[in-house]
Amino acid sequence: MASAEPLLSVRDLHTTFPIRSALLRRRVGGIQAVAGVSFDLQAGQTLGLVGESGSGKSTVARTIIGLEQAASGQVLFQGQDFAAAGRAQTRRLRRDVQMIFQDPYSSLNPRRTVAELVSEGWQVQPGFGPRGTWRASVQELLERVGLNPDHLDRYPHQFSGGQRQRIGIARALAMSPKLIICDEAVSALDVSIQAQVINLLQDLQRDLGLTYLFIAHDLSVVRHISDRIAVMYLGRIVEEGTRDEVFDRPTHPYTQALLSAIPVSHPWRMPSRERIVLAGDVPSPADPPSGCRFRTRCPKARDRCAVEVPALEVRLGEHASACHFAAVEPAVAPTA
Amino acid sequence: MTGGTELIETVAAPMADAVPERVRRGRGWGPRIWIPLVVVAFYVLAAIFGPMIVTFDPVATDTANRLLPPLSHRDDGSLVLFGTDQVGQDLLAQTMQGARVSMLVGVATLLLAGFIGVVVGVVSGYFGRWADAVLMRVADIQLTFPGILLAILIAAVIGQSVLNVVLILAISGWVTFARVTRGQVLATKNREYVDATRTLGASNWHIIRTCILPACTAPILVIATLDIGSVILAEAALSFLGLGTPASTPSWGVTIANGRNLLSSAWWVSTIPGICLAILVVSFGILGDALRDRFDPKMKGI
Repeated sequence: MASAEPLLSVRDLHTTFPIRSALLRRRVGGIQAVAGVSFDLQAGQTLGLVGESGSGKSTVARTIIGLEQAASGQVLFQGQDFAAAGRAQTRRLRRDVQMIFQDPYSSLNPRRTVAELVSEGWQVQPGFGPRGTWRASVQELLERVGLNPDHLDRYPHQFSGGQRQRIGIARALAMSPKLIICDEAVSALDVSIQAQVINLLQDLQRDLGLTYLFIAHDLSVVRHISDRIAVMYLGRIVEEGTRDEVFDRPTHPYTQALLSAIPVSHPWRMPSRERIVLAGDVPSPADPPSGCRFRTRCPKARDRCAVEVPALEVRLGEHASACHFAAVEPAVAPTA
Repeated sequence: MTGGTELIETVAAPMADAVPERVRRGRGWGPRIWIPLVVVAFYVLAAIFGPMIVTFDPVATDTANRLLPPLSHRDDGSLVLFGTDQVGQDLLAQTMQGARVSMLVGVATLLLAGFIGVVVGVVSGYFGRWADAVLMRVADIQLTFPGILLAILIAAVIGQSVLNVVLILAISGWVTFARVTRGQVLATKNREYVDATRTLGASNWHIIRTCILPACTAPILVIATLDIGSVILAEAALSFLGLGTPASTPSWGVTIANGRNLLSSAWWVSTIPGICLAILVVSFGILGDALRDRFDPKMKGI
């Protein structure tokens, strides 16, 4: 694909959490939360990152934004390496990448007012104009995210979950970012509120040209908002492609199992649809299986899977899949 | 969709401690808080205004009126409410002067110990690693000494003065503050809102100032209230042993020590400042307990 330089480019990212011994705190092993993740994100697009709990999708987000240290690999933002940048430069880069957190109840400091919360980025970064103009700017932002601009002296607990998430969005927008990472940004919300917040995110993307890395486990939400989708399993991306490719022609057995689990509104209209139920649990990321990490639960697993790690490459159709036996199973995906 | 809302409510319920104090303060000011508060307020007023009304002169003597029992009259007909001591000094004046010294020492000690403790607690809790290991081992070692023994040792070395007493008691009192602060910092620093502040590019100092310290105020205030009683008591003990405040600024401990040879003949010289001391210490104890239950029910066992 010959296109412009991607806004965000993640290259073979590894993030490992050390396991330390009880007494001497010596390192005795590591949990490979992220084990070799690579993807590109074009400006103005939305990449949906999906996977079950423990697949490492949140760790990818936290590593990109600098809350976790990468063990190896690169995170390039507009071609600049985050890790290689100096302290001052990193702080400036951070303005361009903001994050919306999962839980609107714990991600806002309960002791600060909305005005303080939204303008917090301006307090910690230089170059946001004189303090005197902040209140007016906060009010504009609150209006932009659909909150009453007169509520700027209230505390977070005086708002509902959806309203709090809007405060979180206003906080991120205050930095005029280019990329916003939404880490399960709507998972904690009511379904009706989810729709409102997603519509808000889409409006903002259209108006401000934002780029989203949208992390979720709810596939219908991801399908609604994403341009491209990457599916993660146990610290690796197993399938990556455009939304329609991944949803309509999934080639990795894990993606197929995930998609078959989406409830459909009129099941009798698709009698051929089968539910693929995976056996067993996700293996421990402290001791992942050899070869293909999915092989312990894969219905198609053969000897080759235990030996050879399947690369994420275009195997069938137009999108990348990390399965030696990639094949389209027509009966799994629900048609919208 | 009420199911979803209920789920969010139950998820939010354990977060009650995250609600700001100023919002919760509206409920639960029971008698366990206001009665000791009134007593303490009375002592504070007596300490501030008492010596202005009944002046105390440490070198004045009035041997004609020595060892008068409480509620008796001097030659000139004036009432001595608390009696007089062996040189004829008014015990009421001495006790109020003593309240001034004791409470001043108590508050100054807590401010100093609190400052040291909070700094140590934040450094070791927030930055962790070797700083945490070193500071907490120092605290552990200090805790193995009985506090009063350490205080006596230092007092014997650096000598007598009000300032030295404050220093000595602060040195033996900072550990509690450091441990409580560290615990609170550890509980707060992994909160999601701290991460959310960090992603804005905030410095550690900004995070400590806006996220960490505000979360520490309530437990620190509780510890301070619980501690001030024992600090005042420790000061009295030091003074009683002759290692505390000098005779020119008599605290309760000095007055109590003065009367110990007269216990069989003139009980009031030691007993009255002793009772004053006991009431104040007990009041602070009850107040601290009540405040702890009020602000931090989780700490009940401590």
